[in-house]
Amino acid sequence: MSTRISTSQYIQGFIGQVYDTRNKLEQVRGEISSGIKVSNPSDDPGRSGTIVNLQAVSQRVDKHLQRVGAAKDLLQIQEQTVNSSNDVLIRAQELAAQAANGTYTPEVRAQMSEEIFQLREQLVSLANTKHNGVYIYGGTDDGDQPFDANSTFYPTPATGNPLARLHYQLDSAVTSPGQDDTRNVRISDTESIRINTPARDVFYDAINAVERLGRAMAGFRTDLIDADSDGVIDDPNPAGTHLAYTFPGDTNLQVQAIRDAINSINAAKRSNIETELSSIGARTNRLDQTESILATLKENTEVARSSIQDTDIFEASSKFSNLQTTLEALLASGSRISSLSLLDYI
Amino acid sequence: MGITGLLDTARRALNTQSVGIRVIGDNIANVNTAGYTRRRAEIVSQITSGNGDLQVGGGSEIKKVIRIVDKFLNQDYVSKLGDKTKAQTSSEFLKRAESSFQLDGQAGKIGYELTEFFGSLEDLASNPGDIPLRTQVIQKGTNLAATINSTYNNLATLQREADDRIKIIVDDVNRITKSIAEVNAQLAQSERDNQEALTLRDQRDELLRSLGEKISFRTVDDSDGRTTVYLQNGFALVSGVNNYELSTTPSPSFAPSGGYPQGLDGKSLSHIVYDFGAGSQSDLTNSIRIGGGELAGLLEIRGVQAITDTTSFDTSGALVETAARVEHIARDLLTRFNLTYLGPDETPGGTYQPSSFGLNGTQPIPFGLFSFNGANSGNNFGDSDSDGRPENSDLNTIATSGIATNFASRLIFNVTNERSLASAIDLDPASASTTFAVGDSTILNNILAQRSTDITYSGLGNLTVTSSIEGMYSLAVSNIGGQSARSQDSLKIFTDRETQTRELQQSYSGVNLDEEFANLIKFQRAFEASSKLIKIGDELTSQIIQLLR
Repeated sequence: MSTRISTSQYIQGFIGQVYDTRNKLEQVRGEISSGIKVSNPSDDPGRSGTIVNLQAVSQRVDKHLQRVGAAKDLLQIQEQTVNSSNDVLIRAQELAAQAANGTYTPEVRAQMSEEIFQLREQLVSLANTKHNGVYIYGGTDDGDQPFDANSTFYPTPATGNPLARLHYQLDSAVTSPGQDDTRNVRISDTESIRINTPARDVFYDAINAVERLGRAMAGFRTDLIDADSDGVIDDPNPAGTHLAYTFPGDTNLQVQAIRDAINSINAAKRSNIETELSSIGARTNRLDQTESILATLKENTEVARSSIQDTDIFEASSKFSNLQTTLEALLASGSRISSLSLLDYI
Repeated sequence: MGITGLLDTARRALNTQSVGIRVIGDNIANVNTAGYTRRRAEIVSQITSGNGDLQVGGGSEIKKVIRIVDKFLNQDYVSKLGDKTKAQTSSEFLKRAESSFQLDGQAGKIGYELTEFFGSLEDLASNPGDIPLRTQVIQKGTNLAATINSTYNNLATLQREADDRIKIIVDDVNRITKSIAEVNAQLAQSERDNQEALTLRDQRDELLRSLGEKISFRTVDDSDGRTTVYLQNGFALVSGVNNYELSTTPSPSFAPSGGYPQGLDGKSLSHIVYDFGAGSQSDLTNSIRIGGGELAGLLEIRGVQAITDTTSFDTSGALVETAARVEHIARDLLTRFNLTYLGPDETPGGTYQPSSFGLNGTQPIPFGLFSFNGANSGNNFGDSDSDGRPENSDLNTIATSGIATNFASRLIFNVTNERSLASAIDLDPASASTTFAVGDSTILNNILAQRSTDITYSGLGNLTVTSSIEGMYSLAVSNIGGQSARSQDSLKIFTDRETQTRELQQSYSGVNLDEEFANLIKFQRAFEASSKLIKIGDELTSQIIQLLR
């Protein structure tokens, strides 16, 4: 005896098949329209953990890339700042070379010192550069400007150009801890890079050298003393070290002081400014390399994730048209078979 | 025996064929009736009459109308139906549960928010004094806490929904068993003379099928046609004309002295019991879970508590397993990350003296970075033993004191003021003075170092696993994904089996219109022929009468 099929069984079977095919069709349509094959953990439980990890990696790499970009911006600003300082020092050297010429009178030198003091102001303002609300040479104490003016440091001259009386000094280590500390930015999961240099390492010697030059050209003694060798000129300085020269007797002393100052400027330029420039260059290079490594990593991560998670459009579309054909055939045969009834023949 | 006998035979035949047609009519009319089993008129030949050597039959008659039904096939179908509804219930719940763990890599998933939070700390570490960056940390931290809350709450809500549905289904089961008992009673009255009460039996089979969707059971029919329904463990739901009602209770008589632990949402879960009265209840929960049906699926998902359970996370069940992983993440943030946030201890051996500072010089409290709702209700802002350290033991004390059973749903980001977010460390820990640099990012870097550190997570349920905090989330995703995929696979398998059995059952008991039409023709022709018989009998009789004239 052949298998008996009841009428409701036939209809239920037909509905079930249509429902099944429609479901599959809907699933493939979703995969195509979203471009994602694995959207729920249960779609591929074995690899869902991997997908989460890969997503986290690319999210982290994005963050790293953002920070690398910001670090490069910051280093670029520092490079400009240090380059400008270099120009300022070169101008100071030119003026000093002229002033050291014995044919100039003390009055002319004093006039030339005005420009030197202006150059010092420029250096100080470069050292106190602010970017994104912080002093970029402030170390970790970057809410506080590194160089402050001390107007009572030199008692002489009592009148005349106030800039000649000013002395610029670093904050004391007690009130501003951290001014000599460096800050690091994380540029990958394992690497960090230094993004600042404390003002002491870049500007302190240069500003002092220019200040000495200015004072000497303005006609004041400059044999300032740092008795405890803490890198900060003693305040107050021992009496007599800042007194005015008496001309013409002290002319040679003044010329010698100008030459000393030129040497100090050369030294500061060489050991601070140029070193800093090459360090910035090296770090910018490293950031460029890291950036390209990160970009490759991101690309590879995305490829890996995509190969697990994303829809293969060609495969999905051919699957879709297959299912479409199946459904059409199913509906056509269903309606044809259901129209076959003994009722029509009796 | 004579011509009148022929007329009698013809009359009976007409009767037989017309009843046959009526039965077919009934079949055709019920082709779409759920639970209807096709009937067949059982025709027997009439006893022979006559004497001597010659025996002529008296035609046919309908002995009874029978249901074409295979009892074992029916029972098999009911149990397959139960397997299917169980798998259906689990997979429906797990699909909803995994919606919080979708792989779209978008906001609102714990994994994404963890990475964002740590990313914002990395950003801040490069410029710790920056207020906008601090605002970002607070925002990302708050998002992370809120996402952990909602992910956990989603699981807890599903568990509660399963528990609520268990109560409803138990009511359903009671209603159905009551109806079966009533049908049993009616059957006893209406089945006489070997004739089955067809519709009542169909009705009872249909009731048994609906019962099979809810719970798995076995049946035995007694000689009076009454069905006894009993559970796998032998407990009778219907016996003769009586039914025994199940009930649900959060505090059964067999509960341990401290009571059962709470569900994921901190409220009690119910147990399915039979109440013998006088405070004695029998626990049916576990034996129902092992079987099939919606009730078993719900119990599987919601979890069943054992007498040895001490926390919400000891309960079995897929939702609890995943929730335990989320809770681990929350507790890790509350203990390890909070401890790192405090900075190294400045007075080792005594009460923990934090060494970290915010921009405004404030120092964090033990649960300073992450805290939880209810932390200040009489437990020293979470630090219940007042030793200044955020520890798991503090959380356990709070959990057992009943203030909170879970921390994932109560987690909050505890920094609201940008300037109070601690990032710097005391520069001279030995002296009593506090010196710190605004741009110091030691604390942030310490926290970031913990991010990639593997630790061993244990103590919640049976789970013991060594991983990083972000790895823990991946594990939670694989866990829920695996559970959900398994339940979808079993749904597929059990649906196929159910379909197969239903087709077999339908193929045996269902109505086929073509077949009925064919039979209709058969009976119609037989009816026509029988009428012919009467006509012939009539003609014969009239010929004889004419002969007598």
